[in-house]
Amino acid sequence: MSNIENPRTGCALHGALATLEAIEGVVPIVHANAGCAIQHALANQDTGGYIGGQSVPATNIIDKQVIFGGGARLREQIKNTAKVIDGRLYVVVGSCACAMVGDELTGMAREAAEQGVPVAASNVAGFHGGVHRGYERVLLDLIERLPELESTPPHREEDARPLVNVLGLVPGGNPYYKGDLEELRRILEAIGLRANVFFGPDGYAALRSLPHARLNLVFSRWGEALAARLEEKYGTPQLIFDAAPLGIEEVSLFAQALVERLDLDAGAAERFLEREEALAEYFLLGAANRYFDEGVGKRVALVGDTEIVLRIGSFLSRFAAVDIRTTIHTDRDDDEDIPAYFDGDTHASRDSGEIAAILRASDIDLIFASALETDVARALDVPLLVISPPSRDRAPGGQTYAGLRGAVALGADFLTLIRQARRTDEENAKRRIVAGRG
Amino acid sequence: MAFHAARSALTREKRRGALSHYHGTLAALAADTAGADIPQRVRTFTQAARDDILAAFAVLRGIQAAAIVVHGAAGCAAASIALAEADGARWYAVDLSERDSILGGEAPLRATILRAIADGAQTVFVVGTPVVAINNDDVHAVLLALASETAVPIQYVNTDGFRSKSPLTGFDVAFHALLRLVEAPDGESTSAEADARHAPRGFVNLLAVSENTRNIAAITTTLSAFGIAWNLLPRLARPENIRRAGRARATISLNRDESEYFGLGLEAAQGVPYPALPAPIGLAATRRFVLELGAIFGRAAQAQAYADAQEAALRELIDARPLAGKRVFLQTDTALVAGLGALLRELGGEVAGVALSSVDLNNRAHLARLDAAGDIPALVAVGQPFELANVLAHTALDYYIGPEQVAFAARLGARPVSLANIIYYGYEGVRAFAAALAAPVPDFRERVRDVYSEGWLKKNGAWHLKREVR
Repeated sequence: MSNIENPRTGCALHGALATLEAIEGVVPIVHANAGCAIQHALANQDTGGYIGGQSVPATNIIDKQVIFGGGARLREQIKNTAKVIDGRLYVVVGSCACAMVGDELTGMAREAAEQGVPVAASNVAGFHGGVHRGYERVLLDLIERLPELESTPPHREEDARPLVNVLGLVPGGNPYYKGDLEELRRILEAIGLRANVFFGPDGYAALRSLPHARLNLVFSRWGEALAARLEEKYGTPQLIFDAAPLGIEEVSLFAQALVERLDLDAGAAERFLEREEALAEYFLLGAANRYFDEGVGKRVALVGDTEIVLRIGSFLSRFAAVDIRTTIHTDRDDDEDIPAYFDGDTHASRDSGEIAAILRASDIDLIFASALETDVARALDVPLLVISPPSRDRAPGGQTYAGLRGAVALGADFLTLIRQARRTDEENAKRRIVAGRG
Repeated sequence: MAFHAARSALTREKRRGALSHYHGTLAALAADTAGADIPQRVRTFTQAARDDILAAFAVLRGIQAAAIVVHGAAGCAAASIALAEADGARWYAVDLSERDSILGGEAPLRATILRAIADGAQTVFVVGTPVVAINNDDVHAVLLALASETAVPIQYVNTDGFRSKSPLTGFDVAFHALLRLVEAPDGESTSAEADARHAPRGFVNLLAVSENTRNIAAITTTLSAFGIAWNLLPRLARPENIRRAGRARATISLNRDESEYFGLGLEAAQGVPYPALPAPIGLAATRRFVLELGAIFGRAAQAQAYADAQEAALRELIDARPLAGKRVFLQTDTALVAGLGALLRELGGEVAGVALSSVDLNNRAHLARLDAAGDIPALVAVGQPFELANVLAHTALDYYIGPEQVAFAARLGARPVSLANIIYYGYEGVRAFAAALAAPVPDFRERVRDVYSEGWLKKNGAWHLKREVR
């Protein structure tokens, strides 16, 4: 299907913007007609960081610049952005309009950089694809330019722990990505590593540390090109996972792989995992009776990027023996071959109408999807847990469905969901009884 | 040719001489915009701003059984994530690729329209974007071909994101499309039952676009209270609400800056009066609104009694002057500034600064009606929080009221009140507005980070503006 009913994220420009906004100290400069950056702000309200929404510098080009070129307007904008907004690095990002009229972003950025203003550019345009493409593209462009932007190398801490880069978790790719990254950082640091997540307060300084990592950890296919380029450029090896780990089994395997690869203290990792497992049991297995009372083995559908579908599906299969009837991957092209991760049907779609039709045809008890699936969940009379964007009214805060804390949170949310489902069933049964009374 | 009969709406700059950039004082702004030709300025630094496409979305999103087909890349419809309403229009992105941007997007557009119709759309609005404008897609040819295949009306909303510096142009472009859907006076009635219900007094077209639904309800309740039937559009409108608009006794706008085009167009095309009523905000403006509508509909006595009763119920609040001595910065549309300013004065406060979306030949009179105490800072901007930051850094305030930038104002120590989700229209709005200003707010002074350089905050706020050379 070429068109999309109710898009669920934005375009490549929006992905690039979400990525830059999440790196503290980095200021994007959007070279586009007015509206492009606001569409992003409206669509991705929970991805912003240091700068976002209406604060993002943007050239807001008009017809004159579309006809005669917007180079002069961009030059003026770069110069004045540095005067008005504090930033460590300014990154010009393009748009469909400036790509079509052929404005030269890289040259403009280089011109400013030669005058001492730290500016890079990324020739991203909305029609290059979805938000994931924007994440990939803008970070690839930054990897190319980082060494030139400041002459002094980033401050090296006295910390002797090996640094690892965390790649592939796309800002806005799932509503809880900020919490996911912090949970991964917590686990990595507990087993003796320093995590370079570069999104959040570590920001620009961490971004500049990308070349100094001992290993690149990739948690989805959207990080693979980045890791490959870092390996090519700096010789950093990579370790690729299909998804971020969730639950004690996955986290143990993850930790074991890192201990072996980087020759870490296996005892320290083991002690951490034992303590975490005990905590997880305390929180989750204390409620074991309730899980069995409410009924395990539910039939579920999962809708989201492959990474979150795989992460949550794998955990729920083990933890609650769910039967995964349907998975719908929202970051894949329609004609793409998707590995059969689970026994149920596998689909690729970003189209809300098509997704609703697939869900209606599925025999399911629970839906793990986005807020756009609220109506179909209501129509099917099954509970919905939001795991993919848009999350609409649900503000994610620091919540996570990754690692060990994420497992506890998901276990609790799952229990809440099946309780709601049971109550709904009971209410429906009561209504039938009352309706059948003579 | 009348403006509404043209193929598309003119830009606000051409039709009303709209000024969308100003940084100075209210007196200077009034002087600057007093002539026949309003001098234009351009910014040499800008932040993200809304465009005509987003304004068009605001007009169309609430129309029931309609489809909004965004003829562009997927991101051009991303705002639907925030703007889609459960009972409003269905949204489709044509999802143009780079290849389509070179070879043309007519075929995917046609497929998307046909899909929307198959999904049950009773009206289709095709919204233009920069990609199709630059590529010069022949949208009209696609629509013409489809006209022989389907009875579903398909309207082109010819926005492009760059033709106008004023996003308000998008309201006009979208309303231009709606005007084409209004039945001619001799058109066959599609809502006989509704007509019978409204007979013999008729009804008023109530135009509402961006107002929150509680504000709309405050006014529909008021109209119903003194016996006036209303036809609300475009928010929550069904197709027949648009079709029968030509049979109304009058048209009124909640915000003329947004919906004036429809009112004037309907008046010119079908003779439906569009009286210059003020936005019903504050006691005085609401009284005038109620009494004038009462007169139009032959309900003068009922209107008078209603206004008197409502004002009596609010007398204690007004006499208490809860905002006495408070200095307030107002960010709003120009059509609303006089009403909000009057409401603040009725509650005892004073306007200490304004940020307006656009000043033009039609709405400039509101500047004088603001009746500010002395010469106060004035901005004309859509978005551009850096300009607001500069003004707020130089202005002592008690309150900041606006739909945007409230957290930033809070950091500077002003009590922020967001207009986005409170009631401020009608009599109900007087009480709710006063309550919102009295509500406790957390101290955000140290909590909201600032991205603006010290240098900018100390600079003259007009440093980055230059006169446009034509």
